[in-house]
Amino acid sequence: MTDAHPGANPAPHPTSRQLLRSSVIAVAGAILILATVVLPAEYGIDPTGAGRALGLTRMGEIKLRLAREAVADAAADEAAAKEEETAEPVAAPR
Amino acid sequence: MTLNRPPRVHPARPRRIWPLLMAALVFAGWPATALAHGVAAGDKGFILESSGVLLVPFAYLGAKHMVTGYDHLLFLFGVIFFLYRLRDVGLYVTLFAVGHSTTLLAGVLLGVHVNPYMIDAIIGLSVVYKALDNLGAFSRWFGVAPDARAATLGFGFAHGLGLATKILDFQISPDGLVANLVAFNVGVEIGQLTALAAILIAMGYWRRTHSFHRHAYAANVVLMTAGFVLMGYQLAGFFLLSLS
Repeated sequence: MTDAHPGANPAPHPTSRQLLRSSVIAVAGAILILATVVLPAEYGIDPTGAGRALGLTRMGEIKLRLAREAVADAAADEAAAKEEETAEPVAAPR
Repeated sequence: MTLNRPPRVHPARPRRIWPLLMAALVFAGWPATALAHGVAAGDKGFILESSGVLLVPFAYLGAKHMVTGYDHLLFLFGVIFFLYRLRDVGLYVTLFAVGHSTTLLAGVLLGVHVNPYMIDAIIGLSVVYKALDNLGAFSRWFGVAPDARAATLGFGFAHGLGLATKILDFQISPDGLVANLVAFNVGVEIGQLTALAAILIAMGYWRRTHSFHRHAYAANVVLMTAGFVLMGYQLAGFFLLSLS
């Protein structure tokens, strides 16, 4: 047993080849899930068209637009706050 | 020193619309808050509206964040997967708690702003690491596995930095900050122990089945997959929203 720590798997260790195969399966599975479900639903990125078919891409596009607006809004607030620190408070330019 | 900044004033925009706006944005999964698991709009609204010492509410928020935080739970699940003795469970959970408490408190008090996408990607990486460690991959591939205790403490630091980033994102009031943070942290530990109890009970039943060791391998491959999905999700957010 090379693993001495108590969290080590007490079962017989799998071979290096088996572990590599499992890792490749895990990465491939993750890429598949990301490409067909997560990226369309979160960011509107839909490389396979599955997101559109599932109705997820639209949600992602809306989220991405809102997120970009929020980032821009936060940047504007930041600039406004800086201005307030240096100058007399005046009505916001909007 | 983000926290000592005077409260922001929006003369052209009544303050009352903020909770509504937050609700709309967070409901849409507002990625600017970069939550692997969104803290509800109501909570963010509450924190924005309040100041002063509020021990029980903040403890509740900490516990809620942990119990509903699937990234923390996945890591915890991986850590205790092959821990059979309660003493070992206690040791590892304590290491994780010490790690994330340190960076949660220090991160917020020092105003350490790390990129929320990057820190959540690292939390995803911690899940991948633990799955590979459970599979015995490191010792098989490299002849030696990283010290699991050091890794648990180190990834605990990362998880705490993630928590700190989220609290800073709430623009928490400096009034009563330290007490509220400690309360939040206590809540995180209570939530962690609650979740841990549930996981341990379920694992206890699972381990008694004859097929456990066969399923254990597959379960850790699935855990690794989940870690990679978390990483991809957060890295995509980083490149799309933080770099643009």
